[in-house]
Amino acid sequence: MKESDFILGLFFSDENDLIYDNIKVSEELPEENKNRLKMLSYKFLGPLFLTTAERSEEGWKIDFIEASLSLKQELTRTVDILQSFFNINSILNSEEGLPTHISALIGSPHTEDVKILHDKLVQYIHPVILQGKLVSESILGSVFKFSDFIKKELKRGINFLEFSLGQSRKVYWEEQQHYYCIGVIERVIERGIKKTSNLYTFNKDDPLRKLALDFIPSFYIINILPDYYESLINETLELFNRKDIFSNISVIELSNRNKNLIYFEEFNVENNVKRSYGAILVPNFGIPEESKNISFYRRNLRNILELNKDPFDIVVKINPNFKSDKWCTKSEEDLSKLSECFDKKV
Amino acid sequence: MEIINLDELYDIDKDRLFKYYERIKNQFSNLEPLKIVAKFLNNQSIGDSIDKVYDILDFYKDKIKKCILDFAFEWIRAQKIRLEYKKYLIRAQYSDYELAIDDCVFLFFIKYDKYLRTIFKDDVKEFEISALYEIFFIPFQISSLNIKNLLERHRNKIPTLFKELKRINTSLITLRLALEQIIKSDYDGVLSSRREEAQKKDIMGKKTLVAQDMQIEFNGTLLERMIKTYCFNKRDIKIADIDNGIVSFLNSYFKFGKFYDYDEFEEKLKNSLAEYINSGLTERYKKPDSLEFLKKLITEVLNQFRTIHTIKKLDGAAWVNDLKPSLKNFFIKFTNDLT
Repeated sequence: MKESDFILGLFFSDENDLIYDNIKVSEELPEENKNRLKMLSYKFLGPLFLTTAERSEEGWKIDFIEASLSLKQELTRTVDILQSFFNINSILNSEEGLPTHISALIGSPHTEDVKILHDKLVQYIHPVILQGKLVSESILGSVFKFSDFIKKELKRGINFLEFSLGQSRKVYWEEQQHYYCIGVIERVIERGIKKTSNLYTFNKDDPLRKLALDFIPSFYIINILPDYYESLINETLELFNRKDIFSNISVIELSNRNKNLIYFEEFNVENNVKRSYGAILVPNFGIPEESKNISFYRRNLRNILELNKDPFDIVVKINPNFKSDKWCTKSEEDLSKLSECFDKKV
Repeated sequence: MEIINLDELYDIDKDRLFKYYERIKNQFSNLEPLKIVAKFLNNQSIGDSIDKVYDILDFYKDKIKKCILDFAFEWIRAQKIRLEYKKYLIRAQYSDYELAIDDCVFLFFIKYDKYLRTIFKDDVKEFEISALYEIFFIPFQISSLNIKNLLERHRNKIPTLFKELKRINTSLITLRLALEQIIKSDYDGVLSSRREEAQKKDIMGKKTLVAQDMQIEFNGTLLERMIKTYCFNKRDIKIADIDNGIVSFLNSYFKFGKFYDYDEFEEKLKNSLAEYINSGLTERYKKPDSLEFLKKLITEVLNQFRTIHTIKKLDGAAWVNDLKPSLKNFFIKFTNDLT
């Protein structure tokens, strides 16, 4: 397999938010793209800084982003197709108690066993960097150079991740868990321009809406993440010269200590119009009878896309407590209004 | 703290072992308890002598929260882990030692480390744990197991760090530093048995390639095969494969822990590499003077290498690390230039 078949990047930001990266780049990539790739780490680490800053006492983390990839119809002759594209993140506090971030960006022609890559990053590569820095500092004293150290560790880390690539995905027990849906996001994009963006959820005064706030960072954050990451991944694919494919966000996972949130999306494209429906899911919401497994949500999201029905007819099957009045989330102004009404407990 | 159930991962039959220990205890009731445990372990093929095992038990008995027999059981469990790890290593293909270390530490030793630390007292030093890993995982046929020497060596290498009074967790670095030499030398062993195996097969198959002359100590069959495949289908060779081929070529000659003078191998390296590559070229790419041309190209690469690396005598592993980038670049350029 050629090196250019994969996209592989590892980004690290230390406790002072200084960013270091190691990106595997094909020799054939134009120089201009190589220069633009230097900003990639900032773009992927940016939202992690924001989520750490947001309600820092709670510290929501963006753990995992995955996009499904599709071939652009006019360019279907290409054979080297990326089958999976995902971003795994880890946030660990340094000895001073300040957050450090590491983020792995992986595009691969295989489905990839994401869990093993996640475990390598979170349980080994990231802690080894933090521990290694302290040990090397104590041994080398003033001779220790962090920039040399991190360069070596990121190279080592990226080789370690690359070594696991090429495996097929396995189903883990987490995917069999039951989740409660607290919102459905509808997005319509035509020729790269956002046409519609709405949120189906509870009524503003519904106690379930207030309860949901304990399980999510905010309605505002969840609603901006799919658009942000989708356009970022499209931009990344272009930088790696993969102009023959486009992305659609399929999974976003966030966590906060023992809380988890999964945003899960399905899409279709007809006549250059891409319609996506995504469910915001939380486990252990406290209404077990209305919690379902992921395949239930996947099936219903597909039904919205494929059956010629009013989307709300199916949205209400996903959660009977949702109201038919959807909230527009297209512009920053709309999102601010949503935040004003929905992100306050009172 | 995460609770690790190691019995699910690496089960040892504690009941059977305990019964065996009881038998030894009854047989040698005149011996002091620590001597009995040492004898019990030695009978389980652990340690090259009872006295050395005794010294180790004597040192660690004050470092653990549990009884010395529990410690002995963990020593036996370590042998089981080593067995599993070796079985895995035999099939593994790594481009460099660092990857071998990271992969094996991650797969086999992190969970064991978390578990083992639960039997130690809080004031145990990191170098005492790392020395123990060397004791537990080094193959006994090459181990002298002298506890004093071991501790002295690890004391200078592995610090125990504190922030104010709180101990800083550096367990992964301890694990990595403790096991790096063991994994390196085990992987070297695997590579050399693979070479021996390949050589045996070659002899059995009565292949008559010039490059496989027994006088030549460098073995570049992997590079030869890569060139041959490349000549046939012109499909790009993966950088990781080239890395692997170059490392395997160099490792076939250079041994870890042995020192080499540059002048003693320069000619051999040049001739072997040229012959293996030449032998891999198909008729379409081979010319009457290909071998001489290759030797000339490699001489240039090695001359350039000498202008940067002026040290004359180095350890085998160091020569492999130093030579790899130059030979890899040469190999990539050579294959790209094949028309």
